[in-house]
Amino acid sequence: MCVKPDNRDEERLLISRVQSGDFAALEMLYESYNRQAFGLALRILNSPEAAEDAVQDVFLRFWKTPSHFDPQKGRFITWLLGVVHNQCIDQLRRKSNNSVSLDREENQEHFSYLADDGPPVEEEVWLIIQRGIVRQALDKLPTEQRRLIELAYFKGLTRQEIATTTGQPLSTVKHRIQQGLLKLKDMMQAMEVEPGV
Amino acid sequence: MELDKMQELIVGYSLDILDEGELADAQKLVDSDPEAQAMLLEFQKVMGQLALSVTPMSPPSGSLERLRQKAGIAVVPALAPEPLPLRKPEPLPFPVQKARKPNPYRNWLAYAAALVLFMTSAIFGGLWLDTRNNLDQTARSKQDILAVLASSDMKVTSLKPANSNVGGTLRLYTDPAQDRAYVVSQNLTALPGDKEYEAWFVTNDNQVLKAGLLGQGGSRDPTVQALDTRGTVENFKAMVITIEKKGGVEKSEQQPVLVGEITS
Repeated sequence: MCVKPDNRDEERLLISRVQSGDFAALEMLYESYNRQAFGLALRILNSPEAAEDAVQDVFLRFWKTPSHFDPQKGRFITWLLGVVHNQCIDQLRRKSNNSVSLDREENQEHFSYLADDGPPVEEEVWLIIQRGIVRQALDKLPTEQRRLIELAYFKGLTRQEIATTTGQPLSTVKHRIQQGLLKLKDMMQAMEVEPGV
Repeated sequence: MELDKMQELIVGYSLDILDEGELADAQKLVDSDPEAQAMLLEFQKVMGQLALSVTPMSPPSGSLERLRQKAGIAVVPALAPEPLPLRKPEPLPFPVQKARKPNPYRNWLAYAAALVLFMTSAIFGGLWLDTRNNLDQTARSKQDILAVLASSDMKVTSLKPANSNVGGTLRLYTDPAQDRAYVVSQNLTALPGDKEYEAWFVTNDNQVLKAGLLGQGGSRDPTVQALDTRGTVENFKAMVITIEKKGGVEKSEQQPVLVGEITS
């Protein structure tokens, strides 16, 4: 069996159709990627309604201004998740009560997304592989470095807020985050098939 | 600016965790320094990959309908057609002709037309069933691949080049519990039209078994392929890739171009 992916071309075609005002093409992109985006938004906002709103707002902003995504610069999923992340962090920071849980959230593998809807099989395999690579790399980080990066990335805390919350000196927080990201970058470059962007 | 200080600013900028003063400094740096821009791009890739680390989740049902509503795209349900009023038939404007003598060949024409229609239906019906079977197979294949990747016993082997003329990456995923194996290849050196990459398993007792053909390479996107395990995956100790004539061979006499040892 040989499943040769042509999904980058299909993706560009869908983007082009969205740019031409074809809402059905946007729906196809939504059906392919909303689960990954929703998972990220839910992890940050901890509310299914807020997470769905955030993801849909991003898709609708793309619908109104499709030129915001440039297919030459990388995959749609990578751009989408970046925008969803920014949207969710902004929302989180605007909330008056930003209670922070310092417990690590263990994600259990859900296979509910193995429905017929979703990205093409090649894309889904790529996503699973990338997820495995990132998780392996995160597991190899020293615990504190990983924890601080997750507080920054998934909770939107500034370095000062992290220092205050964890009781660590600001210089230590800066150093650990920097070292952690450098290690992540090097490990993922060494392990991955191809960068996501 | 010192590299360490630049890195500190760029890391904070990519994570969006700088305070106002540092943000302004980082913005100036990114706007003016190509080295900072390149560094930012690398860290933004890491951010993208952090996003992929999260497990996908299904939003509440009806999500697509809500998206449509927000976009102002209404789906109008089809209206049932109004029944036509009954009308009294008008008298015919022409005199009714007398019945003609039946054409003896007309029945044969009707039978021939019916036969052609039947055969056409059979052919298209068969094609439709075939397409459905292919779709079912694709759905099953997707499930198979995902089951291997999700298996707790899954082994991953990165094959290394044994030949400097061949580049690219190839990763083998094996699941001993289900005796299944897949390869993901990318950027394999493109081969001429009459050649093809072929995969072989090497067993613990040094038998070499055909595993499947991998195409001619040259694809920048990852290519996923199922392999023919022909036996027990647990007995495989290595995989080798050779370059053979298109269509493959029963027994390879070529030197391996990629090799990998399957370890636990």
